[in-house]
Amino acid sequence: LQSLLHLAGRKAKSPEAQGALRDASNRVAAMAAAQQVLYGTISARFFNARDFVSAVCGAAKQALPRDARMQCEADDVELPNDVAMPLALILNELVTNAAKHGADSRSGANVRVQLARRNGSFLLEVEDDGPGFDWASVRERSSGLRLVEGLAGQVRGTFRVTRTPHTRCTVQFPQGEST
Amino acid sequence: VTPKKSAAPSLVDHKLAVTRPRPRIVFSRDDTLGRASKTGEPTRLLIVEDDYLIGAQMAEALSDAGFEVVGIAASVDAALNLAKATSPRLAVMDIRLNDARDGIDAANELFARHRIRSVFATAHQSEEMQERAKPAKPLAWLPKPYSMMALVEIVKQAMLDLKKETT
Repeated sequence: LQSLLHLAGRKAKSPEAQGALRDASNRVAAMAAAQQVLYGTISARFFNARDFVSAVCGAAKQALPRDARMQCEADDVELPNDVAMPLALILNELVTNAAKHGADSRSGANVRVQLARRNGSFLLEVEDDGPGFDWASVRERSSGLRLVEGLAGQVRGTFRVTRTPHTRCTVQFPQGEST
Repeated sequence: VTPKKSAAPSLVDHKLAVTRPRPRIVFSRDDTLGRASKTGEPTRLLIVEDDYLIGAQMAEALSDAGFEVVGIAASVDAALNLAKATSPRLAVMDIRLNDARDGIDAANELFARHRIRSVFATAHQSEEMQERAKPAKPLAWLPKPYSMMALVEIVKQAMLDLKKETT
């Protein structure tokens, strides 16, 4: 599927179509990476956060400019299976966004990813050194971040953007295994 | 070529589902939507679906077909709140929700409180389900997986059936 999208993207003539197909291809790659982690997991209900973050970040990195640096950390904890796909898409979107807007003119972007368990909930943070942005004012323009917001809702979480001192996007979602 | 959409799918939120803005383009090529569409007022639909991407795709397909999607609810409570706030004519109801209660509970409540009827979408239709859903007077059952075209057709048909019943 990913190759199909990639090929279609190369054939598409308009830049918008190329962009849309490239985004779709990258999203599929992120989900495929998450799927690999689930396949490789013995438990049928949980997967390891560390394996997951490293796999999905690895997939996302391939689509980033070469000078983008990425640092991924995750607690050695287990996450319930039903958050895997939404979380993979969220992570891919946030990393792609951070690499795109978080780069200054001299050097490539510096993206930091962390997934931690805090007081009974999970916290995914993606930080970059860019100037930051106001979520409310970019909301209409950014379909990628609206996707993050919608998917955060699906895992019963909340999406926030802060810039103190760096641009930081967080998705906090409850730990409780869903019914 | 499909019309380019600028409006984004609305939020899915378990407690406070956000009302979808009215679609800017409303098609009324046929009169399957009945009198409502002729006066320029599209039929209002509520989508109850806990998968954000599927919900967004459904909303898009139904809006393109001329319906007004009042919102996408991901839980029973969100569905009830949205229904109260927006008075939809019909609900498209996913049965398995990421919630302690399911879509059948939601449909039964929607009918008991607001007389809103449902079209059910499910991968596992059983007699037990049909029995439980009787109080909601289901208009149709849509087997999963379904295409967006099938969804639109079944919703249109459900609206026709509803009109026949009420006239």
